[in-house]
Amino acid sequence: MGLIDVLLRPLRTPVATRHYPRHVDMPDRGYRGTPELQPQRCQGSGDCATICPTGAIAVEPRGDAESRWRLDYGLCVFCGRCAEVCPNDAIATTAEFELATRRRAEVVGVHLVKGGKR
Amino acid sequence: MTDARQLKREVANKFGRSLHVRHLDSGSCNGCDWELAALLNSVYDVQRLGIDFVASPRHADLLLVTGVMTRNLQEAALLTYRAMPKPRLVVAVGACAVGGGVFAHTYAAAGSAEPILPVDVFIPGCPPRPEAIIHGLLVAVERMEPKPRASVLSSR
Repeated sequence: MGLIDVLLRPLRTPVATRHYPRHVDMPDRGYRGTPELQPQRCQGSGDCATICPTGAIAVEPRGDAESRWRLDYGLCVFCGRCAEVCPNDAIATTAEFELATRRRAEVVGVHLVKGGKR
Repeated sequence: MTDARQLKREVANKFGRSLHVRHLDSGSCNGCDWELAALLNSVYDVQRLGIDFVASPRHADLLLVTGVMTRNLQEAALLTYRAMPKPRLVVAVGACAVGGGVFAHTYAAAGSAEPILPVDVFIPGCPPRPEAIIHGLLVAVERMEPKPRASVLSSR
């Protein structure tokens, strides 16, 4: 209220700065981060590829029993639709955010999953 | 180690603790731009890392490109890049600059930043959180190591 309080407030307030590279603050709960696949749960339904608004996910059959699941994080808009539609809950959004790479091809994640030609 | 790689390392050593950044909005939706603006507030405060934003590409060491490359900004982006003194680095921020994102196939868009500018570091995200952008900038000057998704996933 008084002028003294106003002058003392900055001294009482703690430092707001997060010291990122030295100390990594995980995002708050409910943060919708990088979608990641748990390949052992995936049945290769391809629903994630169908719903993806930017076409970042591709599920290509490789032979009769196997598919290649591919997510281009350089196209992903982190909307979480793939995690929502997955019938086996194989995709979950994680708190991982350090995705920067030096080559374009390195931001693409690939898994071999069940499925294949049907 | 190739000559180009060696040169890159030398550049990184020179820029390591004093990096001047010029932000180029090549057609962004402003999401990434707001995350960049947050870098300078007291919470993220990139100036403690020796990184600062400058007003002209002629003063800059690094060009931060946000947004899908629109056709009418293609030439301006090239001119901005050419105006920078050598050695220079280019970082693509956000899904649009990295891969084209949701706007890649619209009539006014030329696609991602890569074919037009020689991008050194890609920062995916829509938008990437401020920490992710700091990580990308520190990867560009080799103060942090990238974690390529391909290797992260195959090691599991």
